This record gives sequence, C-alpha cells and structure tokens, in this order.
Amino acid sequence: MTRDPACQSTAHLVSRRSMLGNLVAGATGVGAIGRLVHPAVAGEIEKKKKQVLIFLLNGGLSQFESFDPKPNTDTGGPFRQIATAVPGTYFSELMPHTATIADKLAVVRSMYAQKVPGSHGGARDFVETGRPPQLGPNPLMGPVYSTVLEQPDELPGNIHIAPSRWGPRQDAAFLGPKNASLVLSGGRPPLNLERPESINEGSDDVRYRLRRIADLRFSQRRRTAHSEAYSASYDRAAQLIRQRDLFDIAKEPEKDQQRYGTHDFGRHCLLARRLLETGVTCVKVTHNNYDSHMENFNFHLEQLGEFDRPFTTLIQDLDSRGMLEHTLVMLITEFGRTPAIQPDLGRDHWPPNWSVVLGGCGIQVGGVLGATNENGTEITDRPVHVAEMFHTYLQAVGVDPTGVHELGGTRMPLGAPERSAVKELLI
Amino acid sequence: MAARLTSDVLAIPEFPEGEEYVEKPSSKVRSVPKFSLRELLATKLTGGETPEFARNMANRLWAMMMGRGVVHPLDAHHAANPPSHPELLEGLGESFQQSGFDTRSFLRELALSETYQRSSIAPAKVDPSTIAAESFAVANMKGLSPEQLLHSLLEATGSQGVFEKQVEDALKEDAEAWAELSADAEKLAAARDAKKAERVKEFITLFGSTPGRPEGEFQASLPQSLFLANNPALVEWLEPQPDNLTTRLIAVDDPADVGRMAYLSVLSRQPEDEEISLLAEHLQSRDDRRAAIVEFVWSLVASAEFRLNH
Amino acid sequence: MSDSTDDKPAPEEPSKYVPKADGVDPYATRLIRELKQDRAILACRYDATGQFVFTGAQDYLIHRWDLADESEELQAAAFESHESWVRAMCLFPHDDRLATGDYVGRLIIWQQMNGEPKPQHSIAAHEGSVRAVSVSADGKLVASAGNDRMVRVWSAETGELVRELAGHDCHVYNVAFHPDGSVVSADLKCRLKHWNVESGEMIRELDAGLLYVYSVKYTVDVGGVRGMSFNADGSQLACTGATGVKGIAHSGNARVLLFDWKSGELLQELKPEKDEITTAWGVRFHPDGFIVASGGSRTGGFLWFWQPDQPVAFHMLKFKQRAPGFDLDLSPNGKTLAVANHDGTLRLYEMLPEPVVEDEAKIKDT
Repeated sequence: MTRDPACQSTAHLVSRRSMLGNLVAGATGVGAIGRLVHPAVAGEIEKKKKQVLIFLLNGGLSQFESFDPKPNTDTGGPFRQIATAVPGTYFSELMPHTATIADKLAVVRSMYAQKVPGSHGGARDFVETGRPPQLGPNPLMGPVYSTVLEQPDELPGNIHIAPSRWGPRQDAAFLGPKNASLVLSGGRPPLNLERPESINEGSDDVRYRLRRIADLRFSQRRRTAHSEAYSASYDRAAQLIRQRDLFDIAKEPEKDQQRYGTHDFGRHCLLARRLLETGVTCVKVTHNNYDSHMENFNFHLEQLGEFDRPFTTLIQDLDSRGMLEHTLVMLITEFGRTPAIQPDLGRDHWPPNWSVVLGGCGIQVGGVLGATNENGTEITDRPVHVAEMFHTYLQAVGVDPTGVHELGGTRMPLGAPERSAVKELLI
Repeated sequence: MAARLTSDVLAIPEFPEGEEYVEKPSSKVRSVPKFSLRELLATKLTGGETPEFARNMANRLWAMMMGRGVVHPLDAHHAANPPSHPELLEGLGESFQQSGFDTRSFLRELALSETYQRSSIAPAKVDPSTIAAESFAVANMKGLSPEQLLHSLLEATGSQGVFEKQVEDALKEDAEAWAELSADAEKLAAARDAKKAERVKEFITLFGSTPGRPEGEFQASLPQSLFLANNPALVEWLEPQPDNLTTRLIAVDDPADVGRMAYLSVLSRQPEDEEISLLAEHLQSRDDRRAAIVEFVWSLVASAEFRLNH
Repeated sequence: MSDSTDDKPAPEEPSKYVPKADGVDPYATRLIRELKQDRAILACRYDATGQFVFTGAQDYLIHRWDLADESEELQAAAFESHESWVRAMCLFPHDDRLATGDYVGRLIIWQQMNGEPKPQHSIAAHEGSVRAVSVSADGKLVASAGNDRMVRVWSAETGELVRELAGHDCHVYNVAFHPDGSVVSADLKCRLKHWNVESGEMIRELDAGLLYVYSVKYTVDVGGVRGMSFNADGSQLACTGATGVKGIAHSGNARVLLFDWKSGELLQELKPEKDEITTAWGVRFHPDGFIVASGGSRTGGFLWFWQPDQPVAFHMLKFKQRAPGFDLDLSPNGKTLAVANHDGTLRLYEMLPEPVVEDEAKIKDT
C-alpha cells in the first residue's frame, strides 16, 4: 500500500496505523489492569524460549565460606564442611539447603581474572561483560540477552531486582538505552509506574491518545525512525502500567510467601519466580553484601543465612515447574576473598581464584569443575577465565558467542574473540 | 585514504634515575618532565602531518551539529566504510586544521550553513522514507540533550517558579538543616544550586548516553517514558500554578486562542487548522476543563516534536 | 578589672588517674614477654595462681603456658579436643577446671588444667558457634551463649542441661554470671538480658545499643558485645565493642560501656582520647579502681585505661605489632596483663616501671 504524502487527515492516519497492527495506547485503556498470562498457557506458547536467572552476590563471596571449603587449615576459618547431594562434593556448613540441591548445580572452583581493577564496580563489570572494564564500557549480560534471546511481547524482557539504594544504570553501553535493564530498586515496582493522583485512569487514556496523534502528524512528512521509537516507548509504558501487578508478590499464594520468607532477599526470589513465570527473559537478583574486610565469618554467616534457603526454594520451584530445562541459572560474584585471615578477622579481595555456580539450561550439573590447592591459595586444575565463562553463559542458551552485535555499520563481538566457552560445563 | 605507516622510530631520550623532571611530581605542584611523550603526541597530531586527526575531529563536530557524521559510525574510519561526502570531509578537515583547531568558529560556520538550517520536513511530493540519512538533504533529527530537555520543559510550561518552590520544599524536608540554611544567605544559595544540580543529574542519568561515548542514534527507553508520563514533580509543572502556561490556557475561552498560545509556548510555532479542530473537539468532550488542558499540554510536551531537535 | 589577660576562666582539666602508692602504675605499662603460637589467639586466661596462662586459638587447641619457666624458647603444652576455633573461655574460681567453647557449638569442661588436662564433659551445647562461656561464682554452673540465639546453663558436675534461657532474637555474643548467681547475656543488637537462673525468667533488659547499628548499605546488622565483665562486687558491668560502624569493610570506634548494675543505667561511654578505627574487645576492672581494655583493628592494637567516672582514657598503649588484642586477662596479683593477639603471640604487659638494677659492685660494698 503506497502512502499518499499529501494526505494529512488524522482519521486516515489513525486507521492506517491500526491496519498496520501497531498498538494504540488507549485501545484497551492505559489504566486498566490486564490479566497476566496464565503460567500454564505461557509455558505452551513459549515452549522453546530460553530464559536466564542471575544471582549476583555483591561484594565478593568468600569461596571458603561457600563452595570451596578448606576446614582444618590455616586459611579455612572456623566453619566445617558438609556433604551435599553429590557424593564426594562438600560445601561450607553455611549453606545447608544449597547442599541438598548440589545435584542440580555445576560448581566451578577455578574462576580467575587478571589485571582486575581494585574497585568492586570494575571487577563486577569484568564478570558481567566478559571484558576488562578498562576496554569498556561494554554491555552487561542482561542487555546482551535482550538482543539475542526471544523477548516477551508485552513485558520488559530484562529486569534487575536490585538492593534498595541501587538506581537505574546505563548498563547497555553501545546497545543503547532501550536495551538497558529495568531496575527494581529494593524489589519495588519501577520508578514512576504509578500515575500521580491528579491524573485519573480516564485522563491517562485521553492524554496518551492525544500524544499519539501529535506524533502521527509530526511523522507524516519526515523520516520516521525516531518518532516511531519514541511512540513505541510510550506504548511500552502503557503496557507496563497495565501489567503493574507483575511486581506485586502479594498476589502470589500465601504459602509461597511464607516459604520464601519475609526478608528482602526471600521476597526478591519470589518476585523473580513470578517474573520468570510470566515470561520475562532475563532476571537478575542482587544480594547485598559480602565485602567482609572485617569480621568475615560473622558477616558471611548472616548473609548466607539469608541467601541459602530462598535460593534453594527458587531453584526447586523452577525445577518442579519444568522451567529449569530452559532457564539458565548462574550464581556469580566479582571476586573471591583472601585465604589469609586479616587482623580484624576479615578477608580481602581475591581475584586469583574463586567459585561460580551454574545450573539449568544447557549445563552439565551434579559436578565440580576445577580445583584449588589444600589451603585455597592457587588453582591446581582447569583455570577458567571470566571471559570464558561469559562465552559459556551465551552458549548454554543456544547463542553463538563468536557472533557479533550488528550496530548499523559497526560490529562488536558478543564474547571476547580470544576466548571460548567452557566445553566441560555444557551439555 | 589508505593509512600511512611510518617506519620512524622516535628517539626517546634517557635520563638518569631521579633526573627525569624539571619539576618533580608532588601533591602540590604539577610535574614537568624534561621529555614528554604526550606533548610530542599532541604536537604530531596537530602539526599537519596527521590529517586523519583533523578529519576525525571535524567529523565528530559535524555529527554533533548535523545528527550524523560524514563518516558514520564515528569510530569506523576504514576502507569498507567510506565517507558519504569525501570532498566535504577533506574540506572540513583542512579548514579545521588551518584555523588552528578553532572549535568555536568551526561550529559557527556549521551553524550558518544551509545544511544545518534545513528542516527535517521532506519536500512536497517526495516520500520521506526514500531520503537517505547520509544525504543531509533534510535535517537529521537529534534528541534534545538531557539539559536541553529539562530547561525546555520548564520554559515551555512556564514552570521556573514551581521548580524553585520544589527545590525549596526539598530543602525544607530536613527541618534542622533548613533552619541553619535560612540564617545564611550564601549557604542557602549554594544549597539551592546543589539541589538544582541534582535535578539536572537526574535527567542526565535517565536521558543521557553512555558517559565517554558520543551520542548515538536517538533511542527512547521505557524508564524515560514512564518518567515523562508519571514523574510527580514533572506533572506538577503541568498542573495549574500561579502564572504558568496551564493557568493561562484555562483562562482563555476560544480554542483557537488556546491553541495558538499553547503551540507557540511549547512547540514554537502556530497550530495548523486541523490541530485547532482536534483541540476544540477535545475540550468539548471533557467536562473537567482543568483536566482537559493538562492532558493537552502533556500531549505536546510528551510529543516527538518536543523531544527532538528537528 | 581582671588581672589575667584571658576573659574566660581556664577550662577544667579532667583529673588524671594517680597511681596508688602500693598499687600498679598504668602509665608505666610495658611489654615483658612474648609467647609465640602458630595461629591467631582468640582468648586468654590466667589460672588462679598466676603461674599459667591458657589460650584458645585458631588452631583448635588449648595451650597452657607455664610462666614459671622463663626460658626464651618456651613451648606451650597443647591439648586437643575442639574441632574449630576456640574463643569462649572461662576459668573455674576454686579449682583447676576450665570451660571452653568453640565455633562449631561444642562446650568442654576440662579438669586438671594444671596437671594433665582432659575433658570431663564434652557437650554439643549449641547449633552453630558457642560465642561465650561463664562459670558461676560457686563453680557449680556453666553458662554458654551461642548462634542459635540460646543461652544454656549446665551443671558443671554432671554436664547436664539445667536451664534454657530463650528470648534473644539474634546471635548471643556474650554471657556472664553475676556474683549473686544471676546471669546476663548480650546479643548482636547489643541488647542485654538479665536472667534469674532458677526460674529461667528474664528479670530485665539493659540497652547497649550504642554498640550496634543496622547498615542499610550492606543490609546487615553490625554490632555485638565483644567483651563483658563485672567488677569484683558486681556493682558495675563493662561491655565492649565499637560505635559508629559504617559497614562491614572496617570497624567503627572502640567503646566500653559502663553500666550501674543495680539501676541498669549507663554510667559512662568510655572512649579513647582520639577516635580511631578500632574495636574494643577484652575488658577488666582493676582492684586499684581503673578499667583496662584491649582492642584494635588493622590500624593497630591498643590497651586503654580509664577511670570509671571519666569518659576519656587517661592512658593508651599502642602495640608495636599491627594486630588487635582480642582478649585480655588480669593476673591474680594485679600486676600483669595477658593479651591474646591476632598475630599468634600471647603478650604479657607489666603495669610497673622497669625495676632498677643496683650496681652489683655498689651492693657488695655496702
């Protein structure tokens, strides 16, 4: 159908748009609450769609107090190790629940990185982008997944359930703001999701419609890429406002709210389950904070005490719902902690070796890759570089990490070109 | 232009340890080395032997003004990505070089050019989708910068006063601190500036591109549109306030007058006839005149026409 | 018209501690002995005679140092039984028994500490760490406090559980018997509970909340009463820790809170002269009437001395080694302090000036 550039009638514009199938905000009402797609139906429709669940343990999880215990050594600290669901594999006694699902996990004890900046942010970027931050900025995993994995139709595809004081961040680098993660500070709904009181539901419908008509007029005699992108963002806003129940875990069954617990991390895990069930492609949950330069043992006791059970509950729930098959799970941290115990009973930052855990889609579970020596001061078997893990995170969900981002003339490799995925971890 | 490889090896003088500086590095004084590679680099880049440098700089300044580089993307200067207008690029580079890298006058020349002053509207009978961006035949649209957006919103809606009040209310939230500030005029002014700077920063975080990288293609994100739709402070600018645009519009009866006042204030132009009819229809359809005006004003400030530099 | 050039009167100087004529001189505190172990020492106690010092350390062992042996290369006798770090330690008042607790919940009552020590009772006392133990004045009961939020009272004779004191909602960091037989326990949030052991009921709560903060940035509780000690007649209680802690990357500022036991009120917030990034750990009341505490952080280790009625320490000793003093004990004769250090060395400090050695020739002549 050819456009008649002379035609300026708005009525004509509106109906043409409808014919082209674009959603006009207000057709179903901006304010009305849409029903969330029922999980069972969602499962059928999106059978093959891959999803990702990232746990970021912020601050530097101590490998000694978690997945690579060294009891009875000068570096091991006071805690014991416990048997897990995988015979011959032991975790720290601080993770009794996680130990029971070790058969659903793959533990890598030989993660390392070199020339890591001293700062947490820099080290975290290294882990989350697979590139040295000095060569950045590069997009984090969430934004990357939003460009290579199938995205849900009416939902944001990439959500970060963040600690309270974390706000939105430009984490998509050259992929642009439209691919940035949607941040839920403190697990609360996104900023500005709620209409101010002075604007009622009806008013919302009307103003969106007026706005849309203005844009249609504006784009009549102009190249339309920008105004289309702009209008699309309002469509997404309208959609999200309709879907705002998505962020309300009070809508989850009461018994689940009990199982996950009432503290923040527990609630965030339940929210993550809700988001994944409704089809959000990538969900990241950040748990604060493990940077125990002082009193490492007390603080890991506290934090892992909070982490252990909801993490396990979530993995078990994904499993029983048949979602683990197509959902990649990863438990990451920016570095490990020093073998040497410092004078205030703390441990400092330690990039030469630490532990990372994977599970779910595409991963060989029930084992351990890599090893460290008796007191955890060096890797003795199969070192795994941070960038190799990044390749693995892509390959596990069926994305070729040697591929590129096409950016209108420039191409940027997905994974660091000199590295490759860790075959031993992949099915 | 093929890259030139030079086989010159720079002779870097060596100094005995401890004698490398004219002014030694310290926390109080900037160090001055006897030989500076960086200074040498600067001289070589700007001395005329490296036209690529001048061309790169000129290309970036052109992109900043025209919404797109003559070489685009800006980093991709290579054989498989030739400039859209090779002679233009040469000319720009040379001119910039010869001016001694006078950025101000270079930008002034660009601003005075026909190319810059073109509208983004396609000529009659030409399908806009057939016009290539790299032709510069019509203006390439750019997003307003975060700072431009904030100040334009305040200007368009006549909200400078509300903004000041919002800043003051925010400062008053800490009663103790406010008591201290209100006693000291200088401190109060500084605190006000700081709060305003926070608001600017909010806009930059939300609407700005990645720090350290040039503005890419305009992109719109969900958090941005949610902000423009629902941010309480922003919505307050649209509500009737003493002598702001909304208040003035509510007081005017004739839709044509309402339209003229609104379009001039927000979009710096007269409304078209059909826009006035649409406005009249809208005003008539709503019982609540206040709500109707607020909806209308929002639709203008939230429109692509306002958001973009066209 | 005033004679002086100043308009304001001179500020009152806090009165500095004056050593008693027949007492010790804190100002003269000096290192007299270093006894090296392999791993960080977390606890130290003198026995009743002052001849021995017992230590608990990160090597899971109880060490006994025989101070009567003055040789340079003195080795400690070491006793195995614990399976984790030993931090909780308390001597029995009337005989050579010792109660110790470790990080994996075991409480051991040792006997024959001055001879051939062996565990008399080995009790799985808590789920998770035993953070502190205390022995009653009559030596019949042992109280333990742990990470399972419980305080338990055991018969020293039979090793059986006598009483469970439930009520804390977070890790219990410390416990102490009062001379009158009641028990006080303190937790991570620095709330103290005073218990009647017979009935198992809580009598009252005291608040040492100055030593606690919830860190929003790190979403974690930061606090815990590190050391707790009654004075001889039980009229005052000292609690140690740190105040103003910002998070988990480093400590706050060392404090000792001094409570009036009868009223439960906070008498003083004892602090060093200059606030540094440190935590106060061990604390003791000296019979001469001053209070001494050990502590530190990565910045270094310290001993601080206070008068009970003056908040600012009148003396401070900075250790040569950059290792905090985790624990402190006063020798029975009141002259020496034993400090358990992170660097694995037990250090003895004498609170007396160096004895003057008379010229031998001179002595002979007289």
